Amino acid sequence: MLNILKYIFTSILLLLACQLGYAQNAQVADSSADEEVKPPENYGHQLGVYFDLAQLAYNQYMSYRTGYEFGADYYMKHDLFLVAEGGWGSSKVNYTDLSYTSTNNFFRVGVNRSLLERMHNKDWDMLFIGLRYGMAFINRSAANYVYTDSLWGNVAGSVPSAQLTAYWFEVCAGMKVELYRGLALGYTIRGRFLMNTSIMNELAPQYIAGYGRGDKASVFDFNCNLSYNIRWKAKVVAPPKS
Amino acid sequence: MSKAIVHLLFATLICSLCFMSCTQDRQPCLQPKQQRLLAGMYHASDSAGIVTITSINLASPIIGTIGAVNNETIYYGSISAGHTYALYLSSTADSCLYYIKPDTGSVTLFDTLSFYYQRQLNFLSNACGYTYFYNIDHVNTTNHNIDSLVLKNTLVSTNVNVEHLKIYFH
Repeated sequence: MLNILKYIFTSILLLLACQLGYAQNAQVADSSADEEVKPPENYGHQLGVYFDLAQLAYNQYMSYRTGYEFGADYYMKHDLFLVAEGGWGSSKVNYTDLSYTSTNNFFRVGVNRSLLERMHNKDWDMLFIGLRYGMAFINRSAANYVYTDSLWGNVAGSVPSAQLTAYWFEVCAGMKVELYRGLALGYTIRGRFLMNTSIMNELAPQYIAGYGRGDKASVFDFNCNLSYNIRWKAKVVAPPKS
Repeated sequence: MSKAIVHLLFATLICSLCFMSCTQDRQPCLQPKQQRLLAGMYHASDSAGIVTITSINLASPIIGTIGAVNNETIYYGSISAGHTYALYLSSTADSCLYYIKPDTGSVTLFDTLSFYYQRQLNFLSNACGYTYFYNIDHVNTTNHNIDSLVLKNTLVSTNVNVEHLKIYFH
């Protein structure tokens, strides 16, 4: 629990530092505002939907798990994006002394904040940091185990199936580059911190889609997102007549 | 965004995929899967329990199991290693039996130790699987060479530094 609080505190400090940097830039801009009046922000709207290509690679290389992730982000204001992500996956443990399967689906919600200054109104490339809150709903099958004891004899048994819920928060950073007319590629590096570590006291799933290894209180992950972004103009509000 | 950053993006992707391809399916188990009971041996006249095993005439003690799968005998030819011995309790029953001979020359005179306990199934990790912890209820002994027993800690678990039982010899 202390570790989680430490990470939350560090994340907040990081975000504050970024905010401070942004505010300082804004102050510099304000100081020169006497000479040039900046027009109000009018970048329009953007809705992006994306699919995580990295999961396909993981599925190929890691035979014990499968996972699929997709998501959507919507531009709000002031370089802030609202993000919703979801997916599903499964894992299979098939060792000589332990075997079980698990399946789960998950969702994550949060925000991203772009750190790059736009070069022009149609520039949607971004380097960003973000925060997420995630939940996973897990079905774990009954587990068969063998306890090896060469002296007194082996013991084989079974642990009943269980339904578990995992929730976590995560900090992430990444980038997104537009390749061609709304089609963009980007990656995200994530640090995840499980909030209900009590699920690890019992048989923790080998892999939780959306989170990572189920027997770790903190994990790092990598996503490579291929996204398609739809944009439309903001309604132009006429300035009040003086 | 500059081309250099785009190149960095793809280089990171490739490095990550290389890293993922090297990840093991199962992590190695780095802790004991079998929990052991530590029994210390002392002279009955020494209440502080600081005498070494040489002073209690166990020149070459033999400790063995009775009723185990292999009826294994654990020889402790050397006594210089210390005076604490590791015993493994049975995971197939709630009691088990050990014998202790003071030395290899002693054929008839030996003592038995009967352990009575409750087994607890515990999940260690996906790497190690399951193990058993033991809650010792009581320990009985014969008194040919053994004077008395003191049960110091009743829980046999992953803590490897705890001495559970003190055996005092005549």
